[in-house]
Amino acid sequence: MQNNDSRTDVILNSIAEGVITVDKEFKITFINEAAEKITGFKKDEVIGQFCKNVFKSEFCLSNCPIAQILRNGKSVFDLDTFINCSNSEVLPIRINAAVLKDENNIPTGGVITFRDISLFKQVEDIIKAESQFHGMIGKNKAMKEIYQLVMEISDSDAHVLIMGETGTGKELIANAIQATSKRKKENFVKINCSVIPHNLLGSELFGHAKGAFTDAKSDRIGRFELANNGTIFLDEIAEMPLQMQTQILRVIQEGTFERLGESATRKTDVRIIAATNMNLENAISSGKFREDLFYRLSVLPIEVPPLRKRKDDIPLLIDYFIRKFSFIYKKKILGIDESALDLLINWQWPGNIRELENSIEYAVIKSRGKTHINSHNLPLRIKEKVFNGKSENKNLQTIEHNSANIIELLNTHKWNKTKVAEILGVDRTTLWRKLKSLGID
Amino acid sequence: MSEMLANQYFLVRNFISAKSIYESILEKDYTNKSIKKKLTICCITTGEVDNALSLFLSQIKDDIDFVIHTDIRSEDCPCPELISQIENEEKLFKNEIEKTIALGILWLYCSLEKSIDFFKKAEVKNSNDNRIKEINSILINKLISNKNNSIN
Repeated sequence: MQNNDSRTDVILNSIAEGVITVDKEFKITFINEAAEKITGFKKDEVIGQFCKNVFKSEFCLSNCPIAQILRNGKSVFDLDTFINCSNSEVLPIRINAAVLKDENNIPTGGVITFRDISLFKQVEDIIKAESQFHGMIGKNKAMKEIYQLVMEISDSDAHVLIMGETGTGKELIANAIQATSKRKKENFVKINCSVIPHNLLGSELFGHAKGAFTDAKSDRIGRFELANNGTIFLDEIAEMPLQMQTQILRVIQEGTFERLGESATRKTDVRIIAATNMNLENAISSGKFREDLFYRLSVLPIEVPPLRKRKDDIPLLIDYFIRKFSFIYKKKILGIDESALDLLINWQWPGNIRELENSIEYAVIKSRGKTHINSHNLPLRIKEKVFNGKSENKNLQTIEHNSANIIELLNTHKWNKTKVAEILGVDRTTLWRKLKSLGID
Repeated sequence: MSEMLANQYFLVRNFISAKSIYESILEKDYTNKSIKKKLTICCITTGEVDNALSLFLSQIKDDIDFVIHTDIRSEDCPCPELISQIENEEKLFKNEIEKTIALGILWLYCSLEKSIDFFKKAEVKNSNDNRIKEINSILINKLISNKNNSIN
């Protein structure tokens, strides 16, 4: 038993999150090393003390997370609050909390895990100051239409399907829909269907009863139950197995489900916001996605444009990411030079905004002692475009100054403009423009 | 509702909410000393001094040391602040007898002698209540036994 306890301590001391446990009297029984580091309190000072007397937070008196769970039975996820550290500094933290119970299901204590979010809060302030709409940046027409739509549907409880390539900001749109909806004060539960193994997805979504499978040592509440009266965000819904799609369909149609290994039917009232980067029509054709679920989910469809179709937003996004990463990495970067900006605007961005964000982070890290990012600071794959760009420019100069050669090439290749453009290393449209300027149709 | 939730209410001095949960737990298990101790305090804060008196008598008959050995600081005992509120007339009672009994009960968590002082006064003011007489008898016996122990 002692071995088990010390092993648990080793594990809890190795994680970056602060962990504190209390007994049923709310006296601290354990504090891990990360919690000591975050709060500044030493283990010897706090063990056996009432948590409210240690952290002296208004939050302990009015909104104790463990008391919340004891009152409504729902565990606390990602609750932002403040605690007082040993140096009296007030620290913003994000906490998760759960109640510990004995074999008779009687509460015997609680566990709180937390992390310091002071840096995150500062970044969030930058986002708020810079963003146009709930953390989203962009003045492109298509984006403005999405902002408008989100506001228009704020009174609705209808399910939403967000479609868009990876990295286009689907989750931000889901956040905005939730934050402007009637359910904004209720739970908002997020789940990425692609990261949970198919055999565990059912238990994750609908919960399970004790003994439902080998590792089900106690009853467990599912995400749909947790989101009751609130909203659930099902990211990468197309990755969900067909059998699970049937169960989701039942929740949508009847608002009912069963926990795994339990026959009692439970009710839930949940608004679903689903997202996918796949073409669902293709997935339906190939039998991987249920057509009826598609129609049920896409009451309010939102299509997020890829970054290459909203290039006018790229400078805004670059500016924002430079500020964000300059702050995080404590650099004094004020902007980006023209050649680097040109490269970024002309890049196709297959990974969309996430790829742009990563590229700017890379560039900020790479730009030592400079006030502006230049093309040398950009990731290699984008820098390579410099070479291609230069050869394109060279070829453009060739066709500008040597019309006779172009005519000769066209004659040689029986006026196959595609072939000639390829030989010259320019776009077909560039060649067409040149020919037009020469009066050749 | 669980004892743990009641403990949280008690800690944040939400005595009304704590009281109803402690009462329901005590209905099932009247021997729980820790709950009796807290419920007695809750009853005083809600003005139910008669209930508090019965609970208090039951406690000291059962285990007076459990009350006397209260560590005010480590148990976050609210008695000193309640005594101060009563003495400063911030907390009012129906009559002087109830106030005296309340102070007598609360003082036992801090000082046996002071508690006896108040219960003697209470007995003078209400000689018909046998519970007060019995309490006085237990407290005085305890004082004598403490003195004998310290001499030995």
